[in-house]
Amino acid sequence: MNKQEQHSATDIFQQAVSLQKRLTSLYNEAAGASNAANIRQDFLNILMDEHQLQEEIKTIMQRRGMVHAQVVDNQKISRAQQEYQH
Amino acid sequence: MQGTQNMTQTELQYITDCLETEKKAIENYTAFARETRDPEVSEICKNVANKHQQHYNTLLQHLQNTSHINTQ
Repeated sequence: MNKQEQHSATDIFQQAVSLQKRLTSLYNEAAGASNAANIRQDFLNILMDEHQLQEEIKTIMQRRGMVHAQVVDNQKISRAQQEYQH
Repeated sequence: MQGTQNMTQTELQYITDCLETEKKAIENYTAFARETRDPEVSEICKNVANKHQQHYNTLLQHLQNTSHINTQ
């Protein structure tokens, strides 16, 4: 695969993730604002679907090295634990 | 799916907002699938476009069922 195609795939996936985030946000709001059980349930079912689609896209991006999740060091976790431990 | 006789204005607004967004998503993913030369990207974009079409149809049913009930 040449560099131009790789860039194109990255661009497509980034737009896809952005679109999926907008949809999950919208369905989350819609479910919260609905009174009718059947409408709310459809919004919730679709919300789950949208998260699943986003996960599938991100899995491919990770496999292709397009995203790098930053791993937090243990000291930061310990500091957070100390701050919130009662 | 049961028909909705008493759909609220808020529910109608969200259904139409979601339909509009799903329509754009179908258009975008269909264009991505068509424009890329990468088979894996094309395949997933086609699958995602199909899924969004299913969402669109599910939401549209709420309007069709309600419309049918109101004209009886």
